[in-house]
Amino acid sequence: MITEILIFGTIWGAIYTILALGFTLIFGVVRILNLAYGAIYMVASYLIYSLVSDFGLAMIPAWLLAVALTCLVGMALYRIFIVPLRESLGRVLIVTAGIAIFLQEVAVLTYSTEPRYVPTALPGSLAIWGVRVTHQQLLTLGVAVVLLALLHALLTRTRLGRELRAVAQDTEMAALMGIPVERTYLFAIAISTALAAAAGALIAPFLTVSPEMGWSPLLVAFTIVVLGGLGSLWGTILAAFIVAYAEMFTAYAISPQLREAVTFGIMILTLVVRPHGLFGKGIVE
Amino acid sequence: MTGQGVKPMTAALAVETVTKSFRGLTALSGVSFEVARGEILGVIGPNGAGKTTLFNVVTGFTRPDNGRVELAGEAITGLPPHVIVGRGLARTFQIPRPFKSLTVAEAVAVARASKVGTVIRALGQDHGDMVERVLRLVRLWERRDEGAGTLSQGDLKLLEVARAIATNPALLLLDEPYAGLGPAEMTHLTRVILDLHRAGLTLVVIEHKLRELMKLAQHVVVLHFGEKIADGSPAEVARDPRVLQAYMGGRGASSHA
Amino acid sequence: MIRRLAPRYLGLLVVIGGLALLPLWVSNPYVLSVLTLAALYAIFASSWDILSGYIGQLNFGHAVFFGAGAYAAGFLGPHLPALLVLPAGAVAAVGFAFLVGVPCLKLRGPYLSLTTLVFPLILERLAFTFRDVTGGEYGITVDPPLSAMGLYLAALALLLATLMVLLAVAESRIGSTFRAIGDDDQAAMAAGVNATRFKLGAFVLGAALAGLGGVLYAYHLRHVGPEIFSLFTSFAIVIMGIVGGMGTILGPALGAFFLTLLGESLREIETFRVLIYSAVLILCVMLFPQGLWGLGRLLSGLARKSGMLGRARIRSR
Repeated sequence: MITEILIFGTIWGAIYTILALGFTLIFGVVRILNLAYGAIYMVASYLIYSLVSDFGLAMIPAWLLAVALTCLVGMALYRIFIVPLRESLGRVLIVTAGIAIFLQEVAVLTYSTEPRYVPTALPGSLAIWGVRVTHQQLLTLGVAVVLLALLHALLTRTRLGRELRAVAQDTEMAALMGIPVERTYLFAIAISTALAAAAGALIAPFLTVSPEMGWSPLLVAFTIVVLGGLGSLWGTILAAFIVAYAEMFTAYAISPQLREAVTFGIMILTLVVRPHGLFGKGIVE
Repeated sequence: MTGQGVKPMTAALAVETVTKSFRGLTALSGVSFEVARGEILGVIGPNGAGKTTLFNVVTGFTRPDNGRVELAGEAITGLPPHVIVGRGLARTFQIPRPFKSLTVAEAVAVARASKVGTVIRALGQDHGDMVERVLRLVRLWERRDEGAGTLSQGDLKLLEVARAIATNPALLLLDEPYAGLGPAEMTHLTRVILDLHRAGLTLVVIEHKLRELMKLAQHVVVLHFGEKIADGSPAEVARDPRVLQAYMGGRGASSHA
Repeated sequence: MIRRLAPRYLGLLVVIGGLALLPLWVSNPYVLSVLTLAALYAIFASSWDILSGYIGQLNFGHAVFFGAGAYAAGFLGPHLPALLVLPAGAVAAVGFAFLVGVPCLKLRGPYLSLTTLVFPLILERLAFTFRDVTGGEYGITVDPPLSAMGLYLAALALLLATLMVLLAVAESRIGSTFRAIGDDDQAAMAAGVNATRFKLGAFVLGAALAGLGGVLYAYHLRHVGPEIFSLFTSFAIVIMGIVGGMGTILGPALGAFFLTLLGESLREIETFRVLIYSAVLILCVMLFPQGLWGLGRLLSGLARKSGMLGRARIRSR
C-alpha cells in the first residue's frame, strides 16, 4: 500500500502542480477567480476523447489539437465575458460559474452523462516495486515534468515571464514601467488555459471523462494555492505534492470516497489555522 | 531633538520603537513619540516617509514587526481596528471611503460610539441626536438624505471627519485632511478642527500642506524614510537642518501652498 | 422605519394572501405543488440575499443550510412531534452556519465564495459515505405531518414571515451596517463596526431561515438525499438571487418564483433546463445586473416617487 501511495501520489502530484500553476497564473496575475477553470479542463478531456474516438486521430496530434482548441475557447471566453466585467470581481465570479455550468450541460447534452473512456496511447504496463503502473501513467508523469520545466524556464528566463511576475507583484507599478498590462493578462490566460487543457488531456486516458469532472480539479487547484501561497513556484509544487499524497493516503488507507473530502478539509484547515499558507504569502491579506 | 517637557499626565498616545517592513521595504524604523492629552500633533514628511503606515499601525490596520502602541497608558498593539475605535481612537482615510450605498445620515449613523470620548457630549446642543450634532458641526446636515457617494471631494472629506467623530473618540487621527480642498473648504475644515480641539479632542494630523499644519499644531514630528528625524514645536522643527535637507530633495519646507 | 416598511408589508400581505386563497379557485394539485416549491425556493433565495446581496459576500454554499434542515426533518421526523422538527432544522442550520462561517468569513470576496462552495460538497460526500446513517445515495424517506394543502399554506406562511423579518432587518440600522460592510469593510471597521461579527450574524440569520425552509422542503419532496448538497442546488439559489436582483430581499424571492415557474413551464424541454438557466444567468450578469427587481424599479419610477415601492437599495457588484 505504501508503494501505491508513493507512486500514484507522485504522478498525481505532477498533474496537480500543472493545474495549480495554471490557476495561480489567473489568480495571481489577472487577479480574478475563474470558476470556469475546471470546465476548461473538462472541455479538453472531451475534445481528446472526441478526436481520438470519433475522428480517429492518433494520440499526439489529438493531444496537441485538443490543447490548442481549448486554448482558443478559453481566450475567447475571457475576451467576451470576463473583460467587460473586470471591475467587479463578484460578477466575474458569477459569470464564470455560469459558463462552467453551461459548458457542463453542453457536455451532458452532447455526450450524455455516461463516463467515456479514452483509449490509451501506450498500452501495457510495468511493475514498479510490485505496483502495476501503466505506460500511459508514466508518460503522463514524463510529460508533466517536461511541461513544468518549460514553464519554469518561461517564468524565469524570458521577458514574458518577467512581465508576468511584475504584473503579479504590482499591477500599477508594472504599468508605470511600461509593461503592456492587458496583453500580459491575455498571455496569462492563454498559458493557464493551456495548462488546464494539458492536464485534462493528460488525465483523460486513465480516468474516465464525464461532464462534472471539472469541479474537483478547480477546488484542488484552489486548495493548493491556499496551502502553498501565491508567491513561489516551489511552494506550489510542494503544496501540490502534499495534497496528492494526502489524497492517495486517504484513498488507500481510509476510503476512496473520502478522497476529495480530505482535500477540501485541508483547504478549510489551512484557512482556519494558517491562513497565510505554508509559506506566508497566501490569499488572506 | 527634544520632545515635549515633563508630562504630568499619561500621554494620550505613546508610540514606542515601532518598526514595519513590507516585502523587504522598510516603511517604519524604530519610530517613537508621544502625544500629550489635548494637543494637536502634526506628522509631516516627504512622500513615502511612512506616515500612513504609522497611522495603519496605530489604528490596528497593520501589525508592526516590532514596538508598542499605547493609548492612554493601555497597550493596543495588534488589536483589531474596531476594538481600538471602541477604546476611543478614530481615524480618517487619506482618500475618502464613503459608504456609497448609504445616505450621508446613514453613513454617520453606522458608526459605533465608544464610551471613552466626550466629544459628542461636548458638541451637544440642546437639540438633536448624535448624527445631527456631528453633521451640523461639519455643515452637512442639509445634505443628510443624499447618497454618500454623490458628494463633492471637499464634502467627502468632511463626511470622513464626521464619521470618525461619530465614534466619540478621545483621540482623532486625520490623514491628509486638506488634500484636494479649495481655499474656502480648507478654512472650513480648520474651523472644524479647532472646534473639536476646543471640545477636548486630542488630534494627530498628517499633512503635506505645511502652512495650514504649522498654524494648527503645537507639536510636530517629522518622518523621513521611516525614521523620526525631528520632534518639537513647529518653530524648532522648521529651523532643524535635517528637516530642511529632507525637504530640499523635493520642495522646501515653507513653499507648500 | 415602520413607515418605510408599511407599503411593502402591505404589498406582501396582498400577494401572499392572494396566493393562499388561490386554492378556492384552482384545485389542480400540480399547480399547488409547483407554487409550494416556488415559495420554498423564495425562502432560500431571500435568506441567501441578506449575506450575499447586502454584505456582498457571495455565498455559493447556501445548500448546506436548507440541506441541514431537510436532513433534520429526515432524522428527527419520526422521533419528534411535528412542531419541534422545525426549530430543530433551524438549529441544525445555525450550527452549520458557525461551522462554515468561522473559517470562511475571515476571507474576502472571491476567496470566500470559493470556500463556501466546498462545504456542500463535503457534506454530499459524507452523506454518501456514512450510508447507515444517511441512507447513502438513496437518502431518507420523509413522512410529512401535513397534507399537500397544509404544506402549501405553511410554506406561504413561512415565506411571509421570512420576508417580513428580512425586510425589517434590512431597513434597520443593522441593515445599514450590512450595506456599509459590503461597500467597504475596512472603513466600517474604522467606524467601530466589528465586521466579522456582523457577517456571521447575517450568515446565521440566513441559515436559520433556510433551515426552516429545508424542513418543509423535505416534507414537500417526501424525501431527502445527498443531491440536496449538489453544486447545482447551490447555484440555482445564486441564479435566482441574481436574476431577481441582489440586495433587495424581494428581488431574489421574485427571481425564485420566476425561475421555478419558468422551469416548470419548460417541462417539455426539461433536458435544456439547466442550459437555459445558466444562459439566463450569464445574460443577466452581463446585461441586467440589477435583475428583475431593478428592471421593475426602472419601469415604475413614478410609483417610486409616491413611496409605494419603498427604498430597496440597488447595488451592482
